[in-house]
Amino acid sequence: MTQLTCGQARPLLEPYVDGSLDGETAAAVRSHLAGCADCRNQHLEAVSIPARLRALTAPEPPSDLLPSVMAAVARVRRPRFAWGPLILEIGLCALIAWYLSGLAGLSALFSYTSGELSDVVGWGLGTTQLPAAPSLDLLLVLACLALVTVTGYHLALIIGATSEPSGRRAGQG
Amino acid sequence: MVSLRAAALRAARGDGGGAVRLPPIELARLAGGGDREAFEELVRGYQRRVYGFAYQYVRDAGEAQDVTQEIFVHLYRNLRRYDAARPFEPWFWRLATNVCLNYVRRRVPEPRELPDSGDAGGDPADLPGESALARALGELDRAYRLPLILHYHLDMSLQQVAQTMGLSVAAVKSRMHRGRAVLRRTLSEEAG
Amino acid sequence: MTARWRWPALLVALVVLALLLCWLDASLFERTVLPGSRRILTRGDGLPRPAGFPPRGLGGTPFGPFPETISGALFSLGWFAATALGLVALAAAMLVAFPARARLVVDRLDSLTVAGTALVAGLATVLLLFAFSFLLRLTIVLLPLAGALSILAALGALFGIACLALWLAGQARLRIGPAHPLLIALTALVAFADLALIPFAGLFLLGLLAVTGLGLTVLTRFGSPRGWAMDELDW
Repeated sequence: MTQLTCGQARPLLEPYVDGSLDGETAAAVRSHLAGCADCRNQHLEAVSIPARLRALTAPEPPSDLLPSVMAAVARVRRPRFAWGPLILEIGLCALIAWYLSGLAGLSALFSYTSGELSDVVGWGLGTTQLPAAPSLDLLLVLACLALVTVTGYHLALIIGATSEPSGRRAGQG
Repeated sequence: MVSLRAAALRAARGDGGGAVRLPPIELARLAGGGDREAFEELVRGYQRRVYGFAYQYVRDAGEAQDVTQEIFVHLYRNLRRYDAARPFEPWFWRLATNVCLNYVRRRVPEPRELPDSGDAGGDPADLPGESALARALGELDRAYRLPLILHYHLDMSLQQVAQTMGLSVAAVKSRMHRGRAVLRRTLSEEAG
Repeated sequence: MTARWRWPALLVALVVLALLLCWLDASLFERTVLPGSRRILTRGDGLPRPAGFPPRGLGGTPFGPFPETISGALFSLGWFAATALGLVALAAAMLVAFPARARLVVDRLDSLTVAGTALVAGLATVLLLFAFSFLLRLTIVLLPLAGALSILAALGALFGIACLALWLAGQARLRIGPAHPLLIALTALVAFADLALIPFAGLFLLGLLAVTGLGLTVLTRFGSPRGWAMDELDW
C-alpha cells in the first residue's frame, strides 16, 4: 500500500468522510490517519463540518417581509416597448430628409432603401458629403432641435420604465 | 385570469377546506399568468428559505431582507418565462443566486466596523462556536460557498444543486469537498 | 458525441457555414444577377438624384460599401470573410475587456420584452445621434464631435452585439452543456456573423442587431451596476 504524506492525505479527507474514495485510496488514508495525530484532528474537524453547516441558523424573516414584497411587486411595471414617440421621430426625420433633398429625392431614397440607407446615415454622421443644403437654415435647425428633444424625451421615458426598482427598504438606510 | 384563480382556489379547497396547498410548480404557473394570490402563496411558501439563503449569502439581517425582496421581485418579473415542463426549484434557485450575485457585486464595500454596530436584535450566528464557521463560510469563495449553502442549508440534493449551478454532479461534489477543506483549514487555524 | 466536443463542433460548423455564405455572397456580387444589385448598378434610370447622394458601389452588403475597384470572386470571398472575422474579433474583444459589465447587461436582458424595448431605445438613439450630429455639423466648429459621437455609437453597438451574443450563448448553454465561456460566446458571435452574411437580408439583420445592441448599451448605461440611478452622486 502506498504511504501518504500529510500534504497528500489532507485534500482527501473530505472525499474520505463522504465515502467517495476508491478502496485502495481510502485504505491509504485510513492507515495515514492511524499514524498521524495532526491529521486525525483534521479528520475530526472534517467529520463535524457537514453537520455544523446543516445546523447554521438564520434569523426569522421579519414579519413585514411578505407585505413589503407584495408592495414592491405592485410597483413593478412590465417594461413596455414604447413605440409611440417613434412615429413622431420618424416623421420628423422624413421631414428633414425631404427638406434637404426634395420630394423626388425622398422617393428615390425609398426605392433604393438598401443602397441609400447607409448613405443617409453616413451623411448625418459626417462621413459622406453633405447634400447641397443651406448652411444655416432656421427651419432645418428647428426640425433638428425638435428631433433631438423628442428622441431625448423618448429615451428618458424608456429608461425610466425599465430601471430596476430600488432594493432599499423604505424609511431605512 | 379569474377562472384560473377560481380553479386554483377550488383545487386548494378541494379536500381539506383550504389546508391543501398547491404545489409550487402549479403556483408558479398561475402566478406567471398574472394571479397575484398565487404569487403571494408562493412567496409565503418560500420566504423562510429564501431569507435564510440570502442571510447566509450576505451575512446581514437588513441586507438579507433587501436581497429577499429583490429575489421575489425578480421572480415576479420572470415567472412568465418559466417553462412549467421543467422543475421549478433549480430554476428558482438559479434566479435567486443570480440576484444575490448582482447584489453583492454592486454593494458598496463598507468598512468593517465593530461587530455590534449593525442590527441590535441579537445575531444568532454570533453564538460561540457557530460564529467561526458562519464567518468562515461568509469569507469562502462564492464558487465553493454556493454549493455548500444550497446543499446543507437549503437541503437540496446534489442533483438539484448541479442543475441550479449548471454543473455536473461530479463538479458540484468536488467543489463541496474543496469548500469544506478550506473551511476546515480556516477553522483549525483559528482554533490553533 | 461527448459533451466536451459539442461546442467546438458547433463552432466549426458555424465557421464552415460562414465560409459558404461568403462564397455565396461573392458569387452573387460577381455576377450581379440579383434585381437589387442590378438596379443599383444602372443608376441612370431617369429618377432624379439628389445632389450629394453619390451612387456608391453596389451597396447592400452588411459591412458597408463593397470595394468596386478590385474585383474577382476570390477577392470578394476574402473581403466578406475578413470583414465578418473583424466583427467577431472586435465584439469578442469587448467581452474580454468588459466581462463584468457584459454580465450585468445579460442579467438585465431577462425577457424578450427587454430586447424589444432595447430595439426601440436603439432606434431612438440612432435618430437622436442623427439629428444631433447634423446640428453639430451646422456649427462647423464642433464638427469633429460628430465623428467622435459616431465612433462612440459604433463601440456601443459592438458592445451590445457582444452582450446579445453572450445572452444567446447562455440560453444555448442550458441545452448543449457547459464549456469555456469565451468559446460559447465566440460560437454565438459566429452565429451572428452567419446571419449578417446572408445575402441582402444580412444587411437588415446586422442593422437590427446593431440597433438593438446600441439600445441595450444605452438602457443599461454601458452595463453599469446601478443602471441610470444617480444615487451614487448623493452621499
